[in-house]
Amino acid sequence: MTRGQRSGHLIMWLILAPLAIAVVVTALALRPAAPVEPALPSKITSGGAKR
Amino acid sequence: MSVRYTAVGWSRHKLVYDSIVVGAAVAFILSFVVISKVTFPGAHGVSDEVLVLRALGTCGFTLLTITLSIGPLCRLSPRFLPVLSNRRHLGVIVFLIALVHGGFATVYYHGFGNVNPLVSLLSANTQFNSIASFPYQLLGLAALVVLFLMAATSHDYWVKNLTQRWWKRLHMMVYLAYALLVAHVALGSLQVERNLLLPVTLATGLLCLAGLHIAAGIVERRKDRGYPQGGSPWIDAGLADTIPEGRARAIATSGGERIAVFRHQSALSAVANVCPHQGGPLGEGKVIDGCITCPWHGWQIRPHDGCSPPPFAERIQTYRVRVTAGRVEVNVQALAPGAATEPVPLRRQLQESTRG
Repeated sequence: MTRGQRSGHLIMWLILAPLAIAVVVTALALRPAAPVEPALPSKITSGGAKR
Repeated sequence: MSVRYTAVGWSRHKLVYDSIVVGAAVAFILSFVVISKVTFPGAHGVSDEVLVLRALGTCGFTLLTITLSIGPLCRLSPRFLPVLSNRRHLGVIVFLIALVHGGFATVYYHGFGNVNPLVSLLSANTQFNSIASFPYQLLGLAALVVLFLMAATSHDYWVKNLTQRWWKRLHMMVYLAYALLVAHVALGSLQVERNLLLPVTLATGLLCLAGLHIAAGIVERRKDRGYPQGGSPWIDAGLADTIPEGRARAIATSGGERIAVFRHQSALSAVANVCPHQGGPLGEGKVIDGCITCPWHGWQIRPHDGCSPPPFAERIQTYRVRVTAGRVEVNVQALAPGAATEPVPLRRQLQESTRG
Protein backbone atom coordinates (compact mmCIF):
# COMPACT_ATOMS: atom_id res chain seq x y z
CA MET A 1 0.00 0.00 0.00
CA THR A 2 1.11 3.56 -0.60
CA ARG A 3 1.49 6.05 2.22
CA GLY A 4 -1.79 7.74 1.25
CA GLN A 5 -3.67 4.42 1.41
CA ARG A 6 -2.16 3.61 4.81
CA SER A 7 -3.08 7.02 6.23
CA GLY A 8 -6.59 6.81 4.76
CA HIS A 9 -7.05 3.39 6.29
CA LEU A 10 -6.06 4.57 9.76
CA ILE A 11 -8.29 7.65 9.55
CA MET A 12 -11.21 5.51 8.37
CA TRP A 13 -10.87 3.19 11.38
CA LEU A 14 -10.54 6.11 13.78
CA ILE A 15 -13.93 7.30 12.48
CA LEU A 16 -15.58 3.92 11.91
CA ALA A 17 -14.77 2.35 15.30
CA PRO A 18 -16.44 5.01 17.53
CA LEU A 19 -19.41 5.15 15.14
CA ALA A 20 -19.95 1.39 15.23
CA ILE A 21 -19.57 1.31 19.01
CA ALA A 22 -22.06 4.21 19.29
CA VAL A 23 -24.60 2.30 17.16
CA VAL A 24 -24.29 -0.83 19.34
CA VAL A 25 -24.48 1.12 22.62
CA THR A 26 -27.46 3.19 21.40
CA ALA A 27 -29.28 0.09 20.18
CA LEU A 28 -28.71 -1.57 23.55
CA ALA A 29 -29.66 1.50 25.59
CA LEU A 30 -32.86 2.25 23.71
CA ARG A 31 -34.20 -1.25 23.28
CA PRO A 32 -37.53 -1.91 24.98
CA ALA A 33 -37.47 -3.51 28.43
CA ALA A 34 -39.27 -6.56 27.10
CA PRO A 35 -38.91 -7.76 23.54
CA VAL A 36 -41.68 -6.54 21.27
CA GLU A 37 -43.66 -9.55 20.17
CA PRO A 38 -43.35 -9.48 16.42
CA ALA A 39 -46.28 -10.21 14.22
CA LEU A 40 -46.17 -13.54 12.45
CA PRO A 41 -45.99 -13.30 8.69
CA SER A 42 -49.36 -13.52 7.14
CA LYS A 43 -49.84 -16.25 4.59
CA ILE A 44 -52.05 -13.87 2.64
CA THR A 45 -50.48 -10.44 2.85
CA SER A 46 -46.85 -11.47 3.28
CA GLY A 47 -44.34 -9.07 4.78
CA GLY A 48 -43.88 -10.69 8.16
CA ALA A 49 -41.76 -9.03 10.81
CA LYS A 50 -40.82 -11.95 13.00
CA ARG A 51 -37.20 -12.34 13.93
CA MET B 1 0.70 -15.33 -11.23
CA SER B 2 -0.69 -16.97 -14.31
CA VAL B 3 0.16 -16.57 -17.98
CA ARG B 4 -3.41 -17.01 -19.17
CA TYR B 5 -6.86 -16.46 -17.75
CA THR B 6 -8.05 -19.21 -15.43
CA ALA B 7 -11.07 -19.00 -13.15
CA VAL B 8 -9.03 -20.03 -10.12
CA GLY B 9 -5.39 -21.08 -10.23
CA TRP B 10 -5.89 -24.01 -7.89
CA SER B 11 -2.89 -25.29 -6.02
CA ARG B 12 -2.55 -27.80 -3.21
CA HIS B 13 -2.16 -24.94 -0.73
CA LYS B 14 -5.40 -23.30 -1.90
CA LEU B 15 -7.31 -26.58 -1.81
CA VAL B 16 -6.15 -27.33 1.74
CA TYR B 17 -6.86 -23.75 2.81
CA ASP B 18 -10.37 -23.71 1.37
CA SER B 19 -11.17 -27.18 2.71
CA ILE B 20 -10.20 -26.09 6.21
CA VAL B 21 -12.32 -22.92 5.96
CA VAL B 22 -15.39 -24.72 4.58
CA GLY B 23 -15.00 -27.52 7.14
CA ALA B 24 -14.69 -24.99 9.97
CA ALA B 25 -17.78 -23.11 8.72
CA VAL B 26 -19.87 -26.30 8.57
CA ALA B 27 -18.62 -27.35 12.03
CA PHE B 28 -19.46 -23.88 13.38
CA ILE B 29 -23.02 -24.00 12.03
CA LEU B 30 -23.65 -27.54 13.31
CA SER B 31 -22.16 -26.73 16.75
CA PHE B 32 -24.25 -23.56 16.95
CA VAL B 33 -27.46 -25.49 16.26
CA VAL B 34 -26.63 -28.39 18.59
CA ILE B 35 -25.46 -26.20 21.50
CA SER B 36 -28.50 -23.92 21.14
CA LYS B 37 -30.82 -26.94 21.14
CA VAL B 38 -29.19 -28.36 24.26
CA THR B 39 -28.95 -25.03 26.10
CA PHE B 40 -32.43 -23.72 25.28
CA PRO B 41 -34.69 -26.75 24.97
CA GLY B 42 -38.45 -26.88 24.57
CA ALA B 43 -40.53 -23.75 24.94
CA HIS B 44 -37.49 -21.54 25.61
CA GLY B 45 -35.98 -22.41 22.29
CA VAL B 46 -36.58 -20.96 18.85
CA SER B 47 -37.75 -22.85 15.80
CA ASP B 48 -35.28 -24.92 13.79
CA GLU B 49 -35.53 -22.55 10.84
CA VAL B 50 -34.71 -19.50 12.95
CA LEU B 51 -31.88 -21.41 14.60
CA VAL B 52 -30.33 -22.23 11.21
CA LEU B 53 -30.76 -18.60 10.15
CA ARG B 54 -28.97 -17.41 13.26
CA ALA B 55 -26.23 -20.01 12.84
CA LEU B 56 -25.62 -18.90 9.24
CA GLY B 57 -25.66 -15.21 10.19
CA THR B 58 -23.30 -15.71 13.13
CA CYS B 59 -20.96 -17.85 11.04
CA GLY B 60 -20.83 -15.31 8.19
CA PHE B 61 -20.29 -12.37 10.53
CA THR B 62 -17.57 -14.20 12.49
CA LEU B 63 -15.78 -15.22 9.30
CA LEU B 64 -15.95 -11.64 8.02
CA THR B 65 -14.46 -10.38 11.29
CA ILE B 66 -11.62 -12.94 10.99
CA THR B 67 -11.07 -12.01 7.32
CA LEU B 68 -10.79 -8.32 8.18
CA SER B 69 -8.37 -9.11 11.03
CA ILE B 70 -5.82 -10.85 8.79
CA GLY B 71 -4.50 -7.63 7.21
CA PRO B 72 -3.61 -5.82 10.45
CA LEU B 73 -2.32 -9.05 12.03
CA CYS B 74 0.13 -9.39 9.13
CA ARG B 75 1.20 -5.77 9.57
CA LEU B 76 1.90 -6.48 13.23
CA SER B 77 3.58 -9.87 12.75
CA PRO B 78 4.80 -11.67 9.59
CA ARG B 79 3.81 -14.99 11.20
CA PHE B 80 0.28 -14.44 9.88
CA LEU B 81 1.35 -14.00 6.25
CA PRO B 82 0.49 -17.61 5.24
CA VAL B 83 -3.21 -16.96 5.91
CA LEU B 84 -3.18 -13.77 3.89
CA SER B 85 -2.44 -15.34 0.52
CA ASN B 86 -5.96 -16.72 0.09
CA ARG B 87 -7.87 -13.96 1.85
CA ARG B 88 -10.01 -13.42 -1.23
CA HIS B 89 -11.28 -17.00 -0.97
CA LEU B 90 -12.40 -16.21 2.58
CA GLY B 91 -14.26 -13.17 1.28
CA VAL B 92 -16.07 -15.23 -1.36
CA ILE B 93 -17.04 -17.84 1.28
CA VAL B 94 -18.38 -15.04 3.52
CA PHE B 95 -20.51 -13.83 0.59
CA LEU B 96 -21.87 -17.33 -0.07
CA ILE B 97 -22.81 -17.84 3.59
CA ALA B 98 -24.43 -14.37 3.66
CA LEU B 99 -26.31 -15.19 0.44
CA VAL B 100 -27.73 -18.41 1.92
CA HIS B 101 -28.64 -16.55 5.14
CA GLY B 102 -30.33 -13.71 3.23
CA GLY B 103 -32.05 -15.99 0.73
CA PHE B 104 -33.37 -18.31 3.42
CA ALA B 105 -34.57 -15.38 5.57
CA THR B 106 -36.35 -13.79 2.60
CA VAL B 107 -38.13 -17.02 1.68
CA TYR B 108 -38.98 -17.87 5.30
CA TYR B 109 -40.30 -14.45 6.28
CA HIS B 110 -41.61 -13.13 2.98
CA GLY B 111 -42.16 -16.10 0.71
CA PHE B 112 -45.59 -17.28 1.77
CA GLY B 113 -47.79 -14.34 0.83
CA ASN B 114 -49.24 -13.02 -2.37
CA VAL B 115 -46.56 -10.36 -2.79
CA ASN B 116 -43.21 -10.90 -4.45
CA PRO B 117 -40.80 -11.79 -1.60
CA LEU B 118 -38.32 -9.09 -2.64
CA VAL B 119 -41.07 -6.45 -2.86
CA SER B 120 -42.30 -7.61 0.53
CA LEU B 121 -38.78 -7.40 1.97
CA LEU B 122 -38.33 -3.87 0.70
CA SER B 123 -41.75 -2.54 1.64
CA ALA B 124 -43.13 -4.55 4.59
CA ASN B 125 -41.52 -2.48 7.33
CA THR B 126 -41.10 1.29 7.05
CA GLN B 127 -40.54 2.15 10.70
CA PHE B 128 -37.29 3.97 10.08
CA ASN B 129 -37.82 6.21 13.14
CA SER B 130 -37.96 3.28 15.56
CA ILE B 131 -34.98 1.57 17.19
CA ALA B 132 -36.84 -1.57 18.28
CA SER B 133 -38.68 -2.05 14.99
CA PHE B 134 -36.19 -0.60 12.52
CA PRO B 135 -36.21 -2.45 9.17
CA TYR B 136 -32.80 -3.95 9.90
CA GLN B 137 -33.24 -6.45 7.08
CA LEU B 138 -32.52 -3.65 4.60
CA LEU B 139 -29.14 -3.08 6.25
CA GLY B 140 -28.34 -6.76 5.75
CA LEU B 141 -29.49 -6.56 2.13
CA ALA B 142 -27.25 -3.53 1.50
CA ALA B 143 -24.30 -5.40 3.05
CA LEU B 144 -25.06 -8.41 0.85
CA VAL B 145 -24.99 -6.21 -2.27
CA VAL B 146 -21.57 -4.87 -1.25
CA LEU B 147 -20.27 -8.37 -0.51
CA PHE B 148 -21.53 -9.47 -3.93
CA LEU B 149 -19.56 -6.67 -5.59
CA MET B 150 -16.45 -7.76 -3.67
CA ALA B 151 -16.88 -11.43 -4.59
CA ALA B 152 -17.74 -10.71 -8.24
CA THR B 153 -14.62 -8.58 -8.75
CA SER B 154 -12.25 -10.66 -6.63
CA HIS B 155 -10.50 -12.24 -9.63
CA ASP B 156 -7.19 -10.86 -10.92
CA TYR B 157 -9.00 -10.15 -14.20
CA TRP B 158 -10.74 -7.29 -12.41
CA VAL B 159 -7.56 -6.07 -10.71
CA LYS B 160 -6.02 -5.70 -14.15
CA ASN B 161 -9.04 -4.12 -15.82
CA LEU B 162 -10.07 -1.77 -13.04
CA THR B 163 -6.39 -0.96 -12.27
CA GLN B 164 -4.95 -1.68 -8.86
CA ARG B 165 -5.87 1.78 -7.57
CA TRP B 166 -9.60 1.58 -8.39
CA TRP B 167 -9.84 -2.10 -7.46
CA LYS B 168 -8.42 -1.25 -4.03
CA ARG B 169 -10.86 1.63 -3.65
CA LEU B 170 -13.77 -0.62 -4.58
CA HIS B 171 -12.68 -3.32 -2.15
CA MET B 172 -12.35 -0.83 0.70
CA MET B 173 -16.17 -0.95 0.62
CA VAL B 174 -15.91 -4.17 2.60
CA TYR B 175 -15.62 -1.95 5.68
CA LEU B 176 -18.93 -0.36 4.74
CA ALA B 177 -20.40 -3.89 4.58
CA TYR B 178 -18.98 -4.61 8.03
CA ALA B 179 -20.50 -1.39 9.45
CA LEU B 180 -23.87 -2.23 7.87
CA LEU B 181 -23.74 -5.72 9.41
CA VAL B 182 -22.94 -4.33 12.86
CA ALA B 183 -26.03 -2.12 12.54
CA HIS B 184 -28.02 -5.10 11.13
CA VAL B 185 -27.24 -7.15 14.26
CA ALA B 186 -27.61 -4.22 16.69
CA LEU B 187 -31.04 -3.25 15.36
CA GLY B 188 -32.12 -6.82 14.67
CA SER B 189 -31.20 -9.68 16.97
CA LEU B 190 -30.01 -7.40 19.77
CA GLN B 191 -33.52 -5.91 20.08
CA VAL B 192 -35.19 -9.23 20.83
CA GLU B 193 -32.41 -11.36 22.29
CA ARG B 194 -32.00 -10.87 26.03
CA ASN B 195 -29.06 -13.27 26.42
CA LEU B 196 -25.90 -11.30 27.27
CA LEU B 197 -23.76 -13.52 25.07
CA LEU B 198 -24.82 -11.77 21.87
CA PRO B 199 -23.97 -8.15 22.80
CA VAL B 200 -20.77 -9.25 24.55
CA THR B 201 -19.63 -11.26 21.50
CA LEU B 202 -20.55 -8.46 19.09
CA ALA B 203 -18.76 -5.80 21.16
CA THR B 204 -15.68 -8.00 21.67
CA GLY B 205 -15.36 -8.73 17.95
CA LEU B 206 -15.83 -5.07 17.06
CA LEU B 207 -13.34 -3.80 19.65
CA CYS B 208 -10.72 -6.43 18.71
CA LEU B 209 -11.04 -5.65 15.02
CA ALA B 210 -10.93 -1.88 15.51
CA GLY B 211 -8.04 -2.23 17.99
CA LEU B 212 -6.02 -4.35 15.54
CA HIS B 213 -6.54 -1.94 12.64
CA ILE B 214 -5.72 1.13 14.73
CA ALA B 215 -2.63 -0.52 16.30
CA ALA B 216 -1.37 -1.64 12.88
CA GLY B 217 -2.07 1.86 11.48
CA ILE B 218 -0.04 3.50 14.27
CA VAL B 219 2.89 1.08 13.73
CA GLU B 220 2.84 1.82 9.99
CA ARG B 221 2.64 5.54 10.61
CA ARG B 222 5.81 5.38 12.71
CA LYS B 223 7.59 3.56 9.90
CA ASP B 224 6.38 6.20 7.43
CA ARG B 225 8.09 9.05 9.22
CA GLY B 226 11.15 8.57 7.04
CA TYR B 227 14.66 9.78 7.25
CA PRO B 228 15.66 13.43 7.18
CA GLN B 229 17.18 14.05 3.78
CA GLY B 230 18.80 17.44 3.92
CA GLY B 231 20.22 18.47 0.57
CA SER B 232 21.51 15.06 -0.49
CA PRO B 233 19.37 12.58 -2.43
CA TRP B 234 21.19 9.70 -0.68
CA ILE B 235 19.63 8.35 2.51
CA ASP B 236 21.05 5.93 5.01
CA ALA B 237 19.56 2.41 5.02
CA GLY B 238 21.54 0.96 7.91
CA LEU B 239 24.43 -1.47 8.12
CA ALA B 240 24.99 -3.41 4.92
CA ASP B 241 25.88 -6.73 6.46
CA THR B 242 22.78 -6.85 8.65
CA ILE B 243 20.45 -7.39 5.67
CA PRO B 244 19.94 -11.18 5.53
CA GLU B 245 20.65 -12.98 2.25
CA GLY B 246 17.50 -13.20 0.14
CA ARG B 247 15.69 -10.65 2.28
CA ALA B 248 15.24 -6.89 2.35
CA ARG B 249 15.15 -3.86 4.54
CA ALA B 250 12.34 -1.40 3.81
CA ILE B 251 13.10 2.24 4.44
CA ALA B 252 10.82 5.25 4.24
CA THR B 253 11.75 8.38 2.33
CA SER B 254 10.94 11.80 3.71
CA GLY B 255 7.89 11.73 1.40
CA GLY B 256 6.72 8.60 3.22
CA GLU B 257 6.88 6.14 0.32
CA ARG B 258 9.02 3.10 0.98
CA ILE B 259 11.98 1.57 -0.78
CA ALA B 260 13.01 -2.08 -0.32
CA VAL B 261 16.75 -2.82 -0.37
CA PHE B 262 17.25 -6.49 -1.23
CA ARG B 263 20.33 -8.62 -0.75
CA HIS B 264 20.58 -11.35 -3.36
CA GLN B 265 23.74 -13.38 -4.00
CA SER B 266 25.64 -10.95 -1.76
CA ALA B 267 24.70 -7.95 -3.89
CA LEU B 268 22.31 -5.11 -3.10
CA SER B 269 19.49 -3.76 -5.25
CA ALA B 270 16.66 -1.39 -4.38
CA VAL B 271 13.10 -1.30 -5.73
CA ALA B 272 9.81 0.40 -4.82
CA ASN B 273 8.20 -1.40 -1.90
CA VAL B 274 4.72 -1.60 -3.49
CA CYS B 275 3.80 -4.74 -5.43
CA PRO B 276 2.14 -3.96 -8.81
CA HIS B 277 -0.51 -6.61 -8.12
CA GLN B 278 -2.39 -5.41 -5.04
CA GLY B 279 0.08 -3.11 -3.35
CA GLY B 280 1.66 -5.76 -1.12
CA PRO B 281 4.84 -4.89 0.83
CA LEU B 282 7.61 -6.35 -1.36
CA GLY B 283 10.20 -5.61 1.32
CA GLU B 284 8.59 -8.22 3.55
CA GLY B 285 8.96 -10.87 0.86
CA LYS B 286 12.01 -12.93 -0.01
CA VAL B 287 14.02 -13.77 -3.12
CA ILE B 288 12.92 -17.06 -4.65
CA ASP B 289 14.44 -18.32 -7.94
CA GLY B 290 16.21 -15.00 -8.33
CA CYS B 291 13.01 -12.96 -8.04
CA ILE B 292 11.58 -10.90 -5.22
CA THR B 293 8.40 -12.74 -4.24
CA CYS B 294 5.57 -10.67 -2.78
CA PRO B 295 4.44 -12.05 0.60
CA TRP B 296 0.78 -11.42 -0.24
CA HIS B 297 0.10 -13.39 -3.42
CA GLY B 298 3.49 -14.55 -4.66
CA TRP B 299 3.92 -12.10 -7.56
CA GLN B 300 7.53 -11.95 -8.67
CA ILE B 301 9.84 -9.08 -9.61
CA ARG B 302 13.53 -9.16 -10.50
CA PRO B 303 15.59 -7.18 -7.97
CA HIS B 304 18.01 -5.56 -10.42
CA ASP B 305 15.52 -4.11 -12.93
CA GLY B 306 12.11 -4.15 -11.23
CA CYS B 307 10.59 -6.26 -14.04
CA SER B 308 8.48 -9.41 -13.77
CA PRO B 309 10.12 -12.43 -15.38
CA PRO B 310 8.86 -13.24 -18.92
CA PRO B 311 6.14 -13.57 -20.13
CA PHE B 312 4.83 -11.07 -17.59
CA ALA B 313 5.14 -7.35 -18.21
CA GLU B 314 4.80 -5.67 -14.81
CA ARG B 315 7.42 -3.07 -13.92
CA ILE B 316 8.21 -1.08 -10.81
CA GLN B 317 10.63 1.72 -10.04
CA THR B 318 14.22 0.95 -9.13
CA TYR B 319 16.75 2.97 -7.13
CA ARG B 320 20.52 3.39 -7.11
CA VAL B 321 22.39 1.92 -4.15
CA ARG B 322 25.90 2.44 -2.77
CA VAL B 323 27.77 1.27 0.30
CA THR B 324 29.78 3.82 2.28
CA ALA B 325 31.77 2.84 5.36
CA GLY B 326 29.79 -0.37 5.66
CA ARG B 327 26.44 1.40 5.49
CA VAL B 328 23.93 1.14 2.69
CA GLU B 329 22.81 4.35 1.07
CA VAL B 330 19.91 4.67 -1.36
CA ASN B 331 19.32 7.46 -3.82
CA VAL B 332 15.67 8.45 -3.34
CA GLN B 333 15.36 9.79 -6.89
CA ALA B 334 13.48 6.89 -8.46
CA LEU B 335 14.58 5.53 -11.80
CA ALA B 336 11.98 4.73 -14.45
CA PRO B 337 9.92 1.57 -13.87
CA GLY B 338 11.91 -1.36 -15.24
CA ALA B 339 15.22 0.57 -15.40
CA ALA B 340 18.11 -1.84 -14.89
CA THR B 341 20.68 -1.07 -12.21
CA GLU B 342 23.93 -2.81 -11.46
CA PRO B 343 23.55 -4.74 -8.17
CA VAL B 344 26.20 -3.56 -5.70
CA PRO B 345 28.42 -6.51 -4.67
CA LEU B 346 28.45 -6.42 -0.92
CA ARG B 347 31.76 -8.09 -0.13
CA ARG B 348 33.89 -5.90 -2.43
CA GLN B 349 32.16 -2.73 -1.25
CA LEU B 350 32.67 -3.66 2.39
CA GLN B 351 36.36 -4.39 1.77
CA GLU B 352 36.80 -1.05 -0.04
CA SER B 353 34.96 0.77 2.74
CA THR B 354 37.15 -0.86 5.36
CA ARG B 355 40.37 0.03 3.46
CA GLY B 356 39.18 3.59 3.01
